[in-house]
Amino acid sequence: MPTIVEVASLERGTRQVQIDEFFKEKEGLTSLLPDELLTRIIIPANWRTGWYEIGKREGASHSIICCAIGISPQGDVRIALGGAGPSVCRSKAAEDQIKRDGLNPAAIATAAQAVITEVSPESNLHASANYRRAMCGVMVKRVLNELLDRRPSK
Amino acid sequence: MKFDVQTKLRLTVNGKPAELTIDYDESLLSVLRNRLGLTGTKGACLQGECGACTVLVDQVPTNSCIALAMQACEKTVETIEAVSLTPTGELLSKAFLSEGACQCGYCIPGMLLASKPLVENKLPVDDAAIREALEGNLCRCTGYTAILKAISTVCSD
Amino acid sequence: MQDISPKPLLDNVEPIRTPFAEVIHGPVGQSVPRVDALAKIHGKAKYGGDLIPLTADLHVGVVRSKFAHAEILNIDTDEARQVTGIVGVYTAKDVRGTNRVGLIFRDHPVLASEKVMYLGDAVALVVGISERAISSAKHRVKVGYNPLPVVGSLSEALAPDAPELRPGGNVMGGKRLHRGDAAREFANPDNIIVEETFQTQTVDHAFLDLEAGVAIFNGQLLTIHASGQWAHEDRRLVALAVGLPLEQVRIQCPVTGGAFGGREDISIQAMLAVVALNHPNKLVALKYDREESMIVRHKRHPIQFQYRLAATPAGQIVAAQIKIYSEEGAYASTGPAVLRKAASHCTGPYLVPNISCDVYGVYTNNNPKGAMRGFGAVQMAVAYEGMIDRLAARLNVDRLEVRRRNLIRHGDPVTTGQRIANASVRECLDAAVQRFQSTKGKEVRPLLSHERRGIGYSSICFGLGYGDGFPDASRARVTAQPDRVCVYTGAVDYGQGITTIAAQIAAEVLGLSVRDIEVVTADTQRTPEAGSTSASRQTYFSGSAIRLAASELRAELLDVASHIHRVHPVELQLLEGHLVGRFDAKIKMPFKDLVLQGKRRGFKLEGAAVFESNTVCEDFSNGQSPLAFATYLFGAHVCQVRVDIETGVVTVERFVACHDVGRAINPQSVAGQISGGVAQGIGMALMEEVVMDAGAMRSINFRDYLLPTTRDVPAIEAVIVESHDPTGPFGAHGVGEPPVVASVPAILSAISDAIGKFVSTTPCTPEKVWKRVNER
Repeated sequence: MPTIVEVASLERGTRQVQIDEFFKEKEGLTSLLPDELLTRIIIPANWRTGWYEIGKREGASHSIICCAIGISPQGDVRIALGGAGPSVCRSKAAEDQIKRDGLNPAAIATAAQAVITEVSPESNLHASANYRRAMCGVMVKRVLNELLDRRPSK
Repeated sequence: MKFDVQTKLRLTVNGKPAELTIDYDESLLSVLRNRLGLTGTKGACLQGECGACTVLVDQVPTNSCIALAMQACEKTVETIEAVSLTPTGELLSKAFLSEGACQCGYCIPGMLLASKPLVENKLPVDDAAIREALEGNLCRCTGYTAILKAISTVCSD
Repeated sequence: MQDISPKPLLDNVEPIRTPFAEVIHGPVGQSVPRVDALAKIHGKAKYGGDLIPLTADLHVGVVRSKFAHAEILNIDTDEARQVTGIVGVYTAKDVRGTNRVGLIFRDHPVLASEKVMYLGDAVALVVGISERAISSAKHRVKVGYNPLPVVGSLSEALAPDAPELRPGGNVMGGKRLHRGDAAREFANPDNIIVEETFQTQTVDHAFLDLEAGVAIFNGQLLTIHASGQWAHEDRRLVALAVGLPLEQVRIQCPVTGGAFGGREDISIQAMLAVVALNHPNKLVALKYDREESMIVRHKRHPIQFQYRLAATPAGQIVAAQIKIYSEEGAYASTGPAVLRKAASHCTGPYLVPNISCDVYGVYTNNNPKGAMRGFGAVQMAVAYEGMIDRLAARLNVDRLEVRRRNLIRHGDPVTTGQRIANASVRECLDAAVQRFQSTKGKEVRPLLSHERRGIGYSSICFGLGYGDGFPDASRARVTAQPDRVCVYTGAVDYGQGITTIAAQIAAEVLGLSVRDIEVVTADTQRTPEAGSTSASRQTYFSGSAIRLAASELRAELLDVASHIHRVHPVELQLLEGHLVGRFDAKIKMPFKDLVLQGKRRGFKLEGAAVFESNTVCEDFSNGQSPLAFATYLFGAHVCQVRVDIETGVVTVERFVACHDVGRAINPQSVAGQISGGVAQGIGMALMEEVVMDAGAMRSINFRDYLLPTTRDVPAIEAVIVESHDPTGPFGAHGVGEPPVVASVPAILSAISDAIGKFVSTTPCTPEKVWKRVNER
């Protein structure tokens, strides 16, 4: 989603950054400078969104892996994954699949497959890369199915 | 970066205005405990994971261990020492006592502060809502059964 | 039919009433609110860390090892001493005593001087006027190390070319338990044999109240205010380590926020002592943060079990063959007792005539492994209960049925050969199952297509106290003043509720209410030795001692009263705050008047007592003993889980936990212990794990070491069975540890039931369950 992140510094005041520029996917970093704090996230209100996370416990914790999906009224799609790489990342292949074919069971299955081949998660003490990769598919499938069920009636 | 090591902090704690000189990177928890001697607020994980240090900052439950004291500048902070004397605090205290919700007791001040807004919202709450409101407050002794019962008793009264 | 009863010579004779039968009139058996709870709820109770703000003169910081295994070549403290605000830096050469602590072997240096054996080893203490000063000075203590190869796991320790951590090798020691002829039964071709290997993980106590305290030395007496589980032993260890006579050390435990075995090993006490002795009349303070607490403290032993079970085709267990490998970490801690506890519980509450069990403890460069709630027995139950489920599957018989066929009956021997007069485990299992079924279907949502549901069972036994012939006793003192009665007990209240239990017992004996009793705990200067607050033993041991001491005081009071009222003392009793006549309603006198009269007549009005158990040492060659433990506790759990088979996520939906507590002195406290124990079991079964990597801990905080939250623990349904243990106070025995012991295997059993495959390692994380689901 065309989300904007607002960051603030005591010396320079606030600035707004596009979310795509905020996360540096490959380096696993953000564009936050050492003297800046993130103060606001501005999200478009008219996108349909869903999310899913898998953790070692139900209660709040840093999830092993998580997924958030937004679909715009015009059919634009953003599929974001946390824990699937060094930083938050998007699955362009899965997004393209839904953008091309729309939200339907066959497209969802293909998108869930696509995300598995696209992501390159890492192993750590909470889960292996293999598990994370497989779960990306499960989560994308579940969230897209949920969005399919919640489709606005025409 | 040009920060002074020490800085001035003005805030209201438990209804009393306070002006203190603190370290610029000092946590609210440290100011409450080490400078004001309000040891009812406990530190346990020191990373915002367990809720033992919960205080109310302008009525909002806040993990004081990861809040910079400066974030509470010009704000009102309430700790267990004052909240336990409020009507809601007394109701919750009584319920915790009679349900046996307090075992080692270390998490309980935080539990009480975290559940205060839930009680005062006066909205109907079910078990799931109470569990969600308290999921950031860990207890290692009770298994939560009695704590949740106590809060739900107060909420349903 | 012929009447064989003798012909009565007299008819209609009233039996003589014996009014001396024990009748409970008072608070015993009541859910009396905790006497210490309100101060805790209101934030007024002072835990160790609360003694520091605005009072401490000096703060202590601990310099820890940089290596999991290394020789110390030199320590240079000059630079650290130059830091503003630093008043002293101390190393091993400043420790005037043995510089050693350890509950079983005195093998753990307070400050290491030659070698470091794990990353938690302390090398130096920096002392300063502020926390900021000590944190900057800590990094300026220069320690020269010669790094040695690190032994990071059990398999590394047992490898043929493993570095030797001790002169004799890496095996700490073992324990053997043999009975009958197991080999014969395994050779019998008619028998059914099931085998499995189980592995449990390293678990942390994760009590919330971090290690913290203060100490002061006034030139005569060294007083240390720091939480432990055995004030008197902490005093002995500190006195030896720092070279003071025992009478010059006082340990007082402040309000204690959880322990779970995590305060059995000494933590900050000896280090506080070293500093306080060097800075007389200064209040010195030391506190850990969560990371230091995680890295330093001992943990629950990770144990590997190789288990074989032989049974007849009818499902009667005939033999068990068990090999147990326990990772001990860098120091022995409570390890030898844990090995022995595992062995003595290796077949649980089942009648197994032939047993061959060998246990080995192995040193590594990880954290020492020591006491944690239910030590040895918790891990062991994962194995023996797992085996019962596997036997049931092999026989294609219901899991409950296999349990019922093999559970011990009254008079049967358990693993150690000790015969159990009152084996209430069947009663517990029946009660748990009955409760589970009576509330079945409640609050259960329909399953989604990718979800499965399973039910799990467990039945367990647990030997209370130290057992094995180890001296096991508690002492108590009860004194009467006109305005109050004081109970003095060395026991520690770390949240389990012994303060309230003590008040209830004394009040019961003296016909008072709990409000009339003041309880003083865990202070070597004021309270008599109670033994450790562990092994589920304080209600039983100190409860008994308090009861005896209160009875002695009562006898004295009744003697006083007999002078006043000119009747024999047995015709008098203490009831509802009064002295009353058993037969003469006119005799009635307020308790405080009786005390005043007694004082006036020169009576001391004090009762003191010791309660001891004389267990018998387990035979060195076969582990058998007629009285291995003072008494046995039984319990049974039933739980229901939901498993998401696409993700492996397990949700505990329902949990029924039934325990025989002899008598519930305080039913609400018992339910609290059960619920809390189950929550710890859920943590161990599903999520908690201390992850080590070549001696370095990777789960050093509550972000990576995950504890169950309100959303992970269902409302625990506690069922209490009271079988009246004649050896305990008012029939009570204990409940501290069994709820953890029973809960872990019940959850594994339920997961296995849900996914149709057995799980045999803890914790059952989503990934592990997912892998198992997808295994061919």
